[in-house]
Amino acid sequence: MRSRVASTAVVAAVAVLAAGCVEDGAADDEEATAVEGLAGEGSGEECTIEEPVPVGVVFSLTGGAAFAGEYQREGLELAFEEINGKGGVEYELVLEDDATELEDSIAAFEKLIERDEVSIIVGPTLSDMAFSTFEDAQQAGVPVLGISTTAKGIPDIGDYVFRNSIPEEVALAQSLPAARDALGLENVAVMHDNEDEFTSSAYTTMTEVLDEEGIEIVGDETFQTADTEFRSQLTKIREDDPDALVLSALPAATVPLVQQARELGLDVPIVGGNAFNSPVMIDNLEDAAEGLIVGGAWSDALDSPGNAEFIESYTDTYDRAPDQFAAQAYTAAHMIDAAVRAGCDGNREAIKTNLGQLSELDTVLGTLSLDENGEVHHEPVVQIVEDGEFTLLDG
Amino acid sequence: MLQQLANGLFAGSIYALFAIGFTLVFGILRHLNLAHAAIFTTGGFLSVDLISRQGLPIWLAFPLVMLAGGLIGLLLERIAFRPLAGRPDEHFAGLISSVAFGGMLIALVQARYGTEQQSISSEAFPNEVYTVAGVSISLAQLTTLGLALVLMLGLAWVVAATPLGRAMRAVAENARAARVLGINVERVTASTYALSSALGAMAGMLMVLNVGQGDLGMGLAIELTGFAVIILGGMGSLWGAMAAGLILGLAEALTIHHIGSSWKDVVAFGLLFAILLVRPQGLFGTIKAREV
Repeated sequence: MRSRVASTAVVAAVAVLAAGCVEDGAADDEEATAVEGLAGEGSGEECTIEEPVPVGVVFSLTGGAAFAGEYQREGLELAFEEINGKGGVEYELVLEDDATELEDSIAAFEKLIERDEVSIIVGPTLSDMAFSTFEDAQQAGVPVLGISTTAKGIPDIGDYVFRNSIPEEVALAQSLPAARDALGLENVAVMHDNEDEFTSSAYTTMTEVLDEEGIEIVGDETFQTADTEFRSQLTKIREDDPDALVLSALPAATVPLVQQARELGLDVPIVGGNAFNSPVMIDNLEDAAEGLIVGGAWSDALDSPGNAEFIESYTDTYDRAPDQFAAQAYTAAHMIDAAVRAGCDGNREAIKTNLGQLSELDTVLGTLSLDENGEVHHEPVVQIVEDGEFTLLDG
Repeated sequence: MLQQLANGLFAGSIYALFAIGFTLVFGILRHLNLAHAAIFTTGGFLSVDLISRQGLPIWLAFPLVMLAGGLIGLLLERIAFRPLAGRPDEHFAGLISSVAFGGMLIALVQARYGTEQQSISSEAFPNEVYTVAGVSISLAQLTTLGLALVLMLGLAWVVAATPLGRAMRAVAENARAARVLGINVERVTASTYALSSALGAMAGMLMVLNVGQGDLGMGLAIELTGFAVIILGGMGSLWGAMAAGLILGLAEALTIHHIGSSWKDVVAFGLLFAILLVRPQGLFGTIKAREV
């Protein structure tokens, strides 16, 4: 209660300050939008920019989404450190933590836009916050690059909004046919969290894809976000005797659900979304992880340009293996660098224009392009857990 | 079908154990202790810590978690309830201060263990699954059911047959009269909190063993069900909480089996209202809703 009151007060105060800033800043708006020192000479690898390019970063480093935010921070910092080492263009990160709170996220964006006058913002971690903060950035004319905001409709917010995280739907649409081809699935049972917007929308996509692919749905069960007891639903599914279980759940529910399925003797492959795509998941599930099939944006088994080097230098620096969040953050830095070097200009407008024209960029996620809407396109990765390791599933 | 009955029974035994500690405090002291769910969560995380991080054997972790729960209960009573004793708004103020205590406890757990789920290593607890007549039952489930029953019956025995239990019942009947008769009401109050919280922490541990991980939201998830169990059984009734916990667990499992998983809460809570229509005081409650 208390913290809510306090943060509301902070937001109110920031809003007042921001309003003040807008009035003051209106006169020198022209100078603010184009900083001369950020426009460089040369192009591509030869590009030199005098002043460091300020990059704003908003991640959830504490609170509920910290599990992702920490990996994102590490991935992004590692990439910019490497890029700064190349010379020519230097990037200066201004890092903010939104504590997984919407108010904090909005305040952080205000600060980065008005006070730090950054050229681009990376983040926030959650789609819920992106819907408000991206709107603010759009109005201020600051390009934003989402790296884990996979919700529907995010790129539609405006022409300053970009993302490099493929939507869950795209990943699922790929993993279901791949699983069918590799394992000969004819019928499946579906289970999803019907309380969460993200998992519900993924569920709708799943049923559509299953329908298109001619895979029969023999069981359809639901549960709620906070549930940890799934034995009743799983018992019913066991009676339906499907070839596989297709699951749309958040990470918290996934571990007990899969464990309980195995315990009840439901040994069929389990096809899931992004929630599965983490080495932590295999560690937590141990033997029960065998046969999990995941469609995601990245895998350590992926043979993409620079992936092996990325994994090695990440592991050396942080003493743990990177996950998909880290890989997407790492990719974001390279996308920004590519956009800045393309026009050899670190100003907001130039970055916006050049980011929108990124095409066939080689990244650790694979060959990646952005379309005119700011939506990302790259091939999703389908993996299966075998002998305690993610391996690529060949369709 | 048999499998569903077993599923319901095991889930219900945790509901019952959670609810029984909660209802004990209400039955004797008329305090609504809203920190109970936080103590449940703390017990869960503590058991992951003791078993997976410190490597203690499980039989040693059981009493330690109960002991820790008991100590937190003493602290809770001392900090959140005793300073308010005698105020005209004692019950309402206590309710609020227990929410505050619970919030602080969760913040401490989060500071120590972070926000991620903490899973229990499978070596700590043998991952045995027995199949009897087509029904799969894990060792963790059997242990949970067994321990929950032993603890609940143990508590019933303490209340019914020990000097402490007699003193508790006297305080429940009339605290002032109990004091006049030479009963140390403060000590009885503190003991009640210690017992209640030890059971709450234990329920958290059993939950963790059962689902394989501790989660910061686990207390919130069970709290509502716990309330329903207490109302259904009759506020303050130990036997009522036991029976209602099992009934609710079974009702949920059977709804999923026969009607569909989306209807679980509708049917389970519909059942609650249906029973209250017939017996407003709950299954085992008395009209004044105060017994032990």
